[in-house]
Order: sequence, then structure tokens, then C-alpha cells
Amino acid sequence: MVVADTLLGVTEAFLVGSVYLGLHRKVIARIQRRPGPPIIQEFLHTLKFLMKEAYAPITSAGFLYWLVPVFNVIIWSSAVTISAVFRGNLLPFFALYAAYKVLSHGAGVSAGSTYTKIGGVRHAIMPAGELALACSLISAYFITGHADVAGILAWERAHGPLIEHAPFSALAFFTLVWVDSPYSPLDPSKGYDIVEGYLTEYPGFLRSLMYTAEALKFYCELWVFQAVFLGISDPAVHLLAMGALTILLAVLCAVTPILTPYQAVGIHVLVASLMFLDALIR
Amino acid sequence: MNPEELAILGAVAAFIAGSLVGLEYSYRVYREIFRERRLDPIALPLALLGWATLAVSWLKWRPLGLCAGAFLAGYVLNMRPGYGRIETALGLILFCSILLAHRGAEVIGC
Repeated sequence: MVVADTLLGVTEAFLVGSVYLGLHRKVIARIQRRPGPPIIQEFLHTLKFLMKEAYAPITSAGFLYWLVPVFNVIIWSSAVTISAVFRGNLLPFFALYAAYKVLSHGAGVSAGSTYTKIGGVRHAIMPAGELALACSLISAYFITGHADVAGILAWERAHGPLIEHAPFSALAFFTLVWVDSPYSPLDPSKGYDIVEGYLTEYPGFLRSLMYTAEALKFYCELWVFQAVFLGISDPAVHLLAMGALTILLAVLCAVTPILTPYQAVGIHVLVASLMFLDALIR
Repeated sequence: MNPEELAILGAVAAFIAGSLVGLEYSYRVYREIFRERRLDPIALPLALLGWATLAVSWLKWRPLGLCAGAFLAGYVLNMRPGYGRIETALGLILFCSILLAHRGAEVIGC
């Protein structure tokens, strides 16, 4: 049953994450008065690249280059399994997120290209996002007394959604989800698959694995946010809440100007500081 | 995974399957690149039927109905760019109307 639940949960995360990434892109396109690609375009990209030949650049780091996409899928499958499927402790979620940052840096440098190295380093200079994540999860623990999703949901059934008790923690987590959204103004790397993005040198089914990991990541972050801070536990309402969050994120990504990396880090630190002050006052 | 979550997974898979079929079918049937503000006589009933089935199946919790509704909704939603937009919007209005009518009936006590 554990294996079956895990496989079904990860499959759902991949399918829903792909559709919501496509919805995100569609909403941005409509705001920009373009038709945009179909909502299932991200899913189609993943399938297309799965069928294509993969190769390693001559300058690549061999073993590390081939393993980065595999580990990317493994860590986000683990995050989905621990948090969404079995509603377990959130500390592994934080650890896996930190590992993802290491992997995205590794994706950039392992290809051996100077351009992707810049993209990978740029993506990894956002530790401020992990600061906000850690602070929001610690704040959730101190308020609810639980570090696991099931315990937090049970607390919220008795006391109401956590966002009412810790709004700045919810803002910090939401900022993290916003950073990790495609075309986000807060992300120092603009376009992972062009020019100097860390995905540029990953062809074929390796690129498909990276897209799979992106879909799992998007689903996992949305699911954890709406479970921990909005207190939603019904499966159908989960979908609606994540869809609404996706549309909100897409609108924010479409209408906000592009920020420089230092402005983005500054916003993260500001949000984390507001959260810390709020916790001190309360 | 409980039966509810399995039903949701089935509906999501049916939505994607319907999207694939709708995308492929619309590119074969419709030759114009982008067409706005015209209702399609095939897509409109499919969209209304799909979203209505989705609403009723959700309220009465019928997993097969959820899958069928999701398939039809995805079929029209993901047609070629410029096609199926108005039909999907009308279907969404019907979906929300059914949910609101049910909620109103619950409040009144019917």
C-alpha cells in the first residue's frame, strides 16, 4: 500500500503540476494579449523530450552531469511523498528544498559551459528564499506545536487557518512560491532553458527529467502552502485552491517589473524580517 | 490513497486525455489559424455537457461522471488557440451556476 500510494501520489503531482504550470503560462499570455500555448503544453514538452536522444557535452562532468536530473526527480518525489501523500514532517521538505538548490547549481556547473555555470550560480544565490521558508515553518511549529502536516491540519480544524494567526509567515512562504514560479520577477535567473540558464545544456530525456522535477516542485510547494496556511484537507478543494493560487501567481508574475538579483534578495530579507518582528510582537 | 483522491487522479488524467484529443482534433478540423467571437456548434454542447456533468458529479460524488466531465471539459478547453474559449467560458458559468443553485437550495432547506 505504501508503494502504491507513493506511485499514485507522485503521478498525481506530476500531472497536476504540469497542468498548473501550463495554466500559469496561459494566464500570463492572456494578460499580455497573446493566445499562449495550450494548458497541457508543459506536459507535452515533457513527453516529447522523453522520446529524444540524450547526450553529454564533451566538457561535461560525466557522472555528475547524468545524475543531476535523476536526483532532481528523486528529491521532489520524496518531498511530495513525505508532505502531500503521507502528510509527514515538514523538516525533510526544507532539507529537500535546500538539496534542490545544490542540484540546480550542480546542473549549471556539471555541463562544463561557462554560460550555464553563471545560470546555476545565479539560481543558487537565492538562499534568502530558504531563510523565509525556514522561518515560516519554525513559526508554524511554535504556534501549532506540530511540525507535521497532519498535526498542523488538526490544529487548524480547531483554531482556524494558520494564515489568520501568522499572516507574515504565510507571506514569507508565498514569497518563496512566487520566486519559484516561472517568469517570476523575484528570481535572479530569467529563463532556465535559454542563453545562460542551467537547463540549456540538458538535451533529450535528461531535459524531460528536469521538467518532471519542475512539475513536482510546483505541485509540492502549492500543496504545502495551502495545507499549512489555509488548512485545506479536502482533495477536491485542494485542486481548486492550488488552481486559484496558480492564477494569482501568474497575475503577479505578469504585472510586476523584472527586479535585479539584489532587489529580489532584499525583498526576501524584508519579508523574513517582517515575519520575525511579527513573531516577537505576538 | 483514499477513494476520493483516486477519483481526483482519474479526473485529472481524463482531463489531460481530453485535452490531447481536443488539441489534435481541432488542428485537423479547423483550418483557420485563429478565430474569435464565433460559437462552434459542436464545441458548445460538448462544453456545456462537460461542465454540467462535472458539477453534478462533484455534488453527488460520482467518480465516473467526474472523469467523463473532465474529459469533455478538457476537450473544449484545450482546442486550438482561438477556439473553444467562449464555449469554455459559458461552460464555466453553467458550472458555477449549478454549484450556487445547490448551495442556495441547501441554505433555504430544500
